[in-house]
Amino acid sequence: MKMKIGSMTLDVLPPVKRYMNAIERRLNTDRKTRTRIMMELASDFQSRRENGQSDEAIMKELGSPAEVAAEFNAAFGAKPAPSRRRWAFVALAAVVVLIAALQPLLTQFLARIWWSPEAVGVIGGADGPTAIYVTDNASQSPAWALPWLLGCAAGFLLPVWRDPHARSGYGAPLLLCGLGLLPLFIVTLMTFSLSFSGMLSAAEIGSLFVSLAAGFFTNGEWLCAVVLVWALAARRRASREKGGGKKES
Amino acid sequence: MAAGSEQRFVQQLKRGVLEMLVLQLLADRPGHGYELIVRLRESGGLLDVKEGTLYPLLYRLEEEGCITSVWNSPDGPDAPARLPRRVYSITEDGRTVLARERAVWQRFAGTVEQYLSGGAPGKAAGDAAVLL
Repeated sequence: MKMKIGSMTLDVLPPVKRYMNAIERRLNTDRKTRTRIMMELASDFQSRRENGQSDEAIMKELGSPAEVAAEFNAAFGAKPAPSRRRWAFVALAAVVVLIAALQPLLTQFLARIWWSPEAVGVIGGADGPTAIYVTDNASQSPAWALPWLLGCAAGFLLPVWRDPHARSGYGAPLLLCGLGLLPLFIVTLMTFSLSFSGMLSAAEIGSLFVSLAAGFFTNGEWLCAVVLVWALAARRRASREKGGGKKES
Repeated sequence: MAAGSEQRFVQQLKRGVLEMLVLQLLADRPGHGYELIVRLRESGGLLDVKEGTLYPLLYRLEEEGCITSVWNSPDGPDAPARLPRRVYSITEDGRTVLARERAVWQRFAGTVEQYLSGGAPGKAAGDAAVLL
């Protein structure tokens, strides 16, 4: 497979091409410097081959694409570009917002098909095309989307997208996750206090906890929990790395 | 000294002297980046550098006029299969900088050695003040 770098063409196998492309993507320098770096790396790669090293051994010795690019970025004083994967959280948030926006229409549609008219509160003229339907079911409130959005924002802001070994920058994501989980935490506390008050039967208590569990997954609180655990684990790992010394440059 | 601390210490020392060493290697003879890496590796591992450390240093030295570089095309029967390499060489300005850095290094190393051997701390302190 041919790989063109600047004015040079290198004969490489697909893994090497992927490796070199991955380095180039992560270099956060101007175009001219990036091209020059890639040309020099290609020359070095060829020199190592001529010295009898296998492609696998060369890639292992050079380090992962992230490590190689990070060295160059650090030396040039450039901040590494954050990973594009973080945009998955924005895409998820967009889907959630879309569903929340379409919810009244969806509710109207479902009400016509499955629900009895008594289950639906009506604001405005039910016959008009702009009729607004509001169910009396609290789960249909757009507030369900809030934990989803907080979880998405927290995930997007994680500092690990820019630096997998980041030791700081976890404050905002942790706060957003905490806010997303706060209602669930309060309701769980209230449920426990009701359970011990003796006002509810065992069946009612069981039903409450099932509802809580269902809400945890449908309201996106699980996403907040996942991002929270992720942020805490990344921060802990970074602190341990700091304690164990910086990596070889 | 724990292995991690020793490694950090070596890194710090290496960072301080790498520019001088690269200039010295290029003063001995011109070479391309990988060749410099190999020549530094002959130190037995103490002066190992990676591309991500060496090339930014070479680019800076070139910007400062201490070295120059040209692409050389390979010759010989297998030339078409080989890639051109950027060969670096030292300039007159680079030689001047190298001479200055060598002088500073020798005074610095001598002063540190005096401290480590426990002799003439007063004189050593005076030398260090001059250096700083």
